[in-house]
Amino acid sequence: MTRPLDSSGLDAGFRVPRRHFAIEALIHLEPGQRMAIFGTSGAGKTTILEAIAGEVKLESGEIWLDGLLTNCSRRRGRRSAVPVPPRERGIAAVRQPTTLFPHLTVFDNVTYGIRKQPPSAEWPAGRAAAERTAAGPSAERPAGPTAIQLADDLLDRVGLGGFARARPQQLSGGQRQRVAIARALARPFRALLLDEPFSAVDVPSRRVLREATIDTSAAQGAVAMLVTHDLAEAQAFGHTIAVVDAGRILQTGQAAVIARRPESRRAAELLGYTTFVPSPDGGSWALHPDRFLVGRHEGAGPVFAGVVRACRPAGTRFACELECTGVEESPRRDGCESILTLRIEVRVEVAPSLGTELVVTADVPPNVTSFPGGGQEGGRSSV
Amino acid sequence: MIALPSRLPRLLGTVAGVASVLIAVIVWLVLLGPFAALLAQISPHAIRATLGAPGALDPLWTSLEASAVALVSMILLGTPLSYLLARGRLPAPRLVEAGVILPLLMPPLVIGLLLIFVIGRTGFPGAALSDINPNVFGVNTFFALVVAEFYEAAPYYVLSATAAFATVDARLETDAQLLGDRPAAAFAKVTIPLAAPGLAAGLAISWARAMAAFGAVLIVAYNPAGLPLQIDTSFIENGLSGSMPYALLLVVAALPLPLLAFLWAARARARSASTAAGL
Repeated sequence: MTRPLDSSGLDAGFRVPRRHFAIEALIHLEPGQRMAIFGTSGAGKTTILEAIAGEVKLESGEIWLDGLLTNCSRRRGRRSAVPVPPRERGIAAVRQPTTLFPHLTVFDNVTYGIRKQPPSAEWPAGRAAAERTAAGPSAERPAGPTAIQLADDLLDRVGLGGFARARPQQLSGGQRQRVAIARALARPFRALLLDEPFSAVDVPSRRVLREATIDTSAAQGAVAMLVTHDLAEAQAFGHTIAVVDAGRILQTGQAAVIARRPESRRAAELLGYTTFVPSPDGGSWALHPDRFLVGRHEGAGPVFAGVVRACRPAGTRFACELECTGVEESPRRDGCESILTLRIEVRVEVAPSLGTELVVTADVPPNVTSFPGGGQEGGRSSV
Repeated sequence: MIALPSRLPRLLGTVAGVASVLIAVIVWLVLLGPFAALLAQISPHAIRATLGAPGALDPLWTSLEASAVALVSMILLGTPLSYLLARGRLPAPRLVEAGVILPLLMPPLVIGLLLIFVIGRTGFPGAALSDINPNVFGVNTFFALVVAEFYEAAPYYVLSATAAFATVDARLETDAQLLGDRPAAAFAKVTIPLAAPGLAAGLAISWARAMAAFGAVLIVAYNPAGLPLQIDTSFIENGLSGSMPYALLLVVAALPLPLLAFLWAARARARSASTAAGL
């Protein structure tokens, strides 16, 4: 195949066979663009990153990063296309579980990739360090002191200032992830591949680490991909989100809107929609427990009347089970099937007591096309 | 040994504990018994008489040199093989493994007999090698001694090294390469240090095996005599008293290197275990 005309950014189209299904993906990212790969465990998210890094063999397809071939299928009689060696790919990776060099200290892990070459001047901390050592000519500055300075700055930024001399085995899982992130950010990269990099990190620190990864990849004009099964994290990281299931990208969309616009029932399920009711045009309304308004709201969506069967506090809201007795603006105007139980989260002052009647409106539910074999249109029964 | 006093009382509190300590002591005594006998039976006078003679130490130098050459060849030839085996990059890996184990399962005497067909004047590549220089290559040469020791010892190294490499996470090697290393640099900076304890243990065993190789050596390299063959000759000519000093010499010459390697490997493992436990 030919090299893509627009050679900057990431151009990936490939197929990787796995035991139960093949992983197929078609991804294009502009320089500086970030994508979150969102899906359940075992959906093939990690394999997508490994394919881009050139670590798994492709059955077909090829992957270009800033005009460099990082992976391609090796069919017989096609010797011309050879991926560039790993050291020249410019790929920074954080894996799950983290892979730190166990025989090296935290500091040596972070500086592993920058001992020979000067660290990126694009990295804000690196730039600050360069200014501090501005006595020498910046282009010819010795790598040593700057690398040390950069590593110190990075460790401070990920919250491990005092751990430079520690060994990876002495750290907790979250601390190891921080070191892995610092190691990945230390070296200039074209693509930052993050495989659930914050999974063991406490929630307040996640934001700091996420911002560090976003800042650095933006400063370098690099593409960045984050694998996660946390929708909020995917939304906070990516310009776009790719919803992955069973090896396929079901849907790609802007992070801000994808959660409101699932295109298929499976995508809707992955995005947190729990109940599906038939809509007038033959599709299904996907109902999200978070998106119910108490009372009747004209023009919003279907209105459900029901009896509260269970209720418990959930943060600032109440999570309730509503046994549905009637539904409006639905083909089943006569009422819902007896098995339809809505799980809803409502914002009310006082917990609805059990047995009370409640009317709720689903707030603009997306209308998803049910694909063949979708079945169970009455929604998920709660048993 | 340091931890023994604190653990012992607790262990002796139960019948099973007492039994296990007893069994451990018995096994230890049985294994070490011959060494004690060696030290008890030998007199300084006999050592001086036997080893003081001119040329008496030649077998020692022969053994050390041949084993060193065998060991270096093992490292050069066996390390790549072990690595490829551990990473599953060889076709028919089970077959290759079987080939490595075969010399281990064959009686050394049989290996010696078969080696005649390989390095003897009639075999291949023996005939070709003899044409080059029959005094260097061929049966009953230093070269033959090295080959015989190699056959007896190399499988131990290859198997240990394969196990050692298999413990190193291949993703760490990829990471090193993504961080700018050439494959060779990643191997030297990541793979070797992480596999070092296992490699050291493998080298220790194969060094001891090479120094003590006897069966195959007896057939293809009667000359120049190494220490094991010298022990045999002295035993036949002068009986037990004449061979004991050489036996002691072999132990003293062969033991320190593997013992040090073993202790180092054990300490390295303990260190990584204790840091893993958060100490």
